[in-house]
Amino acid sequence: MFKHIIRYDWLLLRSTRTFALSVALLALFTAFALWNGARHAHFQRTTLAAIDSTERAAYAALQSAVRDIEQGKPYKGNEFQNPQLPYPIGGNKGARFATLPPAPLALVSFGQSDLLPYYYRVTMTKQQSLYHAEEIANAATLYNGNFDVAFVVVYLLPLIIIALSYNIVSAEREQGTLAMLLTSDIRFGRLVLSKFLFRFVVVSFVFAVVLLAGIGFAGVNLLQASSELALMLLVVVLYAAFWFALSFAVNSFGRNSGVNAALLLGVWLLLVLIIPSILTITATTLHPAPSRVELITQTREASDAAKKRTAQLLSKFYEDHPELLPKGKEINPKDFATASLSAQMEVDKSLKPLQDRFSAQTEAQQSLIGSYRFLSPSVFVQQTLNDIAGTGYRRYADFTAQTYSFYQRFQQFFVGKVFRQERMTSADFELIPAFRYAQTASTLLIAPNVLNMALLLILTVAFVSLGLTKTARMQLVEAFA
Amino acid sequence: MSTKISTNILTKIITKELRDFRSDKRVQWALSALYLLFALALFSGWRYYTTTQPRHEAAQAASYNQWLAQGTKNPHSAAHYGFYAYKPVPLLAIVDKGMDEYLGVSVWMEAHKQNSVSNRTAHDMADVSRFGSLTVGFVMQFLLPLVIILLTFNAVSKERESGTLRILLSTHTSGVQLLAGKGAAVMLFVLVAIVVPMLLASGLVMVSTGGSAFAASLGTFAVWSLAVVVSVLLWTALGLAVSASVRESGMSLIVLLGVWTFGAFFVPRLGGSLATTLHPTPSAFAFNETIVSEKAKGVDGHNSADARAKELEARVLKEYGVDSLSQLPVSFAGISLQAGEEHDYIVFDKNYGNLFQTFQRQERVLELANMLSPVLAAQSLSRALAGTDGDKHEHFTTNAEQFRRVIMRTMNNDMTENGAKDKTKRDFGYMADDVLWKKIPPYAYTAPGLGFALGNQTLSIASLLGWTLVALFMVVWRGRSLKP
Repeated sequence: MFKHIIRYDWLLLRSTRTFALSVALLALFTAFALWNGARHAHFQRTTLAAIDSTERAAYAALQSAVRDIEQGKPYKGNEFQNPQLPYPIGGNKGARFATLPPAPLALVSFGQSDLLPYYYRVTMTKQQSLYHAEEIANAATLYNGNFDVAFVVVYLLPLIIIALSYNIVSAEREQGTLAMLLTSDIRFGRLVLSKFLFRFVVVSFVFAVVLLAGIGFAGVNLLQASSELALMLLVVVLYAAFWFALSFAVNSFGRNSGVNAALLLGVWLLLVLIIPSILTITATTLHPAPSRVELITQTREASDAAKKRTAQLLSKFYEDHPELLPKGKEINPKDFATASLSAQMEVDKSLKPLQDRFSAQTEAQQSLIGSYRFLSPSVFVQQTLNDIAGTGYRRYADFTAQTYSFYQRFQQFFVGKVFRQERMTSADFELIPAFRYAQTASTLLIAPNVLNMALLLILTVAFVSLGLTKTARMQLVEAFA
Repeated sequence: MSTKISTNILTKIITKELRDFRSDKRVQWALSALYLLFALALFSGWRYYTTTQPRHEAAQAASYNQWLAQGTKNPHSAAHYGFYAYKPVPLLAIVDKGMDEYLGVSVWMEAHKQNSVSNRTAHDMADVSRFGSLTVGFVMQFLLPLVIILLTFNAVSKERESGTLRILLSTHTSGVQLLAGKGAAVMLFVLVAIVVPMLLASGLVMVSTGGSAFAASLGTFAVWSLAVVVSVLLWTALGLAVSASVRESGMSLIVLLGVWTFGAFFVPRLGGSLATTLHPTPSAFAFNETIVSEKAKGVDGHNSADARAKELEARVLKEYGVDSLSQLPVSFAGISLQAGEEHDYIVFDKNYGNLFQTFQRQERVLELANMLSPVLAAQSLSRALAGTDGDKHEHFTTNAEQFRRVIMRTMNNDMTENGAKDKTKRDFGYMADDVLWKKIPPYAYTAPGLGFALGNQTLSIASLLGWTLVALFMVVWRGRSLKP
């Protein structure tokens, strides 16, 4: 029996343009979104490749300049810029870049990758500059958001589902076929549900095929990314099921098509817009980030204060670190390199509490969102897609933290040389620490994510049962209401 | 006689519609939700302004005090120290903070470098903020149209379904009159029950926080409010036109919601992707590399810094008729630094010029896309009027850079003039004090006026008015051929 319904429904759907058009649009949007995401990831990879080759070239040039001096060629340039001096190397010329390579599935979601820095220029004298690093971007595109797969899933997929299903029951009444169906010997609820199931299967299938084909076409190794892809499909399918179930429940109230559409669109608006913006306002009001503007003023105050005390700081530094006393040389309190570096270290120390507050407050905001995102499955799906794409908050926060600890290591390397008043040898250039992002273990299947998926499933089941109960109670009179 | 009848009928239609709206449960729900969101938006805007603006003001003053308190220094060291310019938050940000969170707020004005205006607030916000932010402008431009859709989508079909349309059209009422009456009722209801109270509340909050600053932005706020009224007219006309064109209420609602969703969610992202594909933004890395290389090698790559220095030296020696730099009555270091700055201006003007041109080209694509979407045109106009858009940001950037150049010139000229007076403390040995620092006034940014915003928004204004006229035309056209 149901086979017949599905077969006839399929024939009917094939002949109606809405269905074909909606599914075609979904395929088209997904393909375009993948192309757009791939373009963005490619741009970032190209930029990082350029950074890498620039850094290598700069290091090769410095090393060969030092080798020339070692082989007896006298250095003729400005003495402050002598490549044998550790200070100008660590402070500027030997800058290392901390870079975050886009994850294999970056093309799926822009996430925060267009907003947060994915590379930092690290020197030993300007920790504060790390806070002010940012990529150039047109604010309008940051504000509007991007056309990526996450957008197609979170925003457009529900709309397509609504377009495909808002009038499944009401259309029967409006065409006058409802009375016939209600009086026939099959259960009406089952019939309607099978129509929903059928659409759900087609939509999920088309999406999965286009997505996997597109990602494969973009050159991603599907097998290597299989666990992320499986999770992604699972989340998308759950999200689609949630919307179909919601639509089924709304349909089962037997209202007319217009009311159904308005109601579903209202829920959509609530989930993709109203709840997220209320969450934003709540998070920024309860856990406001410290002001970057105040950070600037305080940095300047701290460095002015440190500069006034350089002589003191320097002698204190040597008291604390007698192992770094220069051998066979006098300590010169006016020596620019030692004075500046000890002042910088003092500034780093005094700004630490304020800087820690930045990460603490964003962390607090983020965890507040985490606790309340169950209010909107759209927020959960967006965040999960970001994490799958490696463009979410977590990975960027991790990258920034790794950059700061790299700064420490990088500075530490030069501290010994500067304070002992040693010179750089050509062999030393091989020893200068280089940054490599350490990918942390996947946090995709952590408890909160599983809970949110379970919640989606529960909501889906609840809506389906509601729909079944309501349709079972549908009376023949309603067919003529 | 006939005008009297038609006025009479119009009044009756309006009265009847208003009564319907007041008793409609759905309308009451929609209004309550709208007011709730409005209150939240106004609070959030007020909070944004009252926490951010005083901070920027205080930081601007602190930065200047730090500049004055530098003590005795060589003018070039002072130029390196420099100071910061902070972008003031306009009072109208209370109603529309626009793109402020995605635009930088501060720039370091130092020697040899035109820095970018950086420090986007969005960096320190949770990722969920990317879903969009709730502002009074958003309530007016995005959510209010939804209420209007609710009030208009079945304007004609409900009369048809209840059989009253036939009666109405068979009396002295024409289709146009019927639609005009309904339109007037919707406008009246929306303006009295929503727009005017919300504008008054926003105005009151701005007066109480801004005081005298509000007087200065009163004209702009008036234009901003006018734009809201135009958008109400636009959506009312659009709603009635669709309602008169589509036979079933359901279909009419779906068409209107489709237009809204397409314009509010689809067009902006599509436009952004097209804009950045057609006119790619350079990476900060590539941008800085180009500047560094052009500063060293010259814009054409054939005029190295060394060559330029030699040329300058020969010219200055000749000008003063002496053989060596030590014989100069002025400081060559000062002259050379200023010459360096002026060479760099060419590099900065070229590169920042290109960057801003790229942004402007992207902006054009977005504005063309806005033609497809009256909501976006209204949004774009609103943030331009509020002074929280990209054009205003660029104006600030240019203004701060002009000020930086004044600082550099003042420092270098002082060094040129006084850096050779004491032969034992020439050039970089010469020290200046706060007499010189005080020659630089505090940085004060004056935002451009109303004309600037309107001039930049011609396409958005054209789009808004175009949509309104087309919708009004459709109302008249469909009204004439209205059949029961």
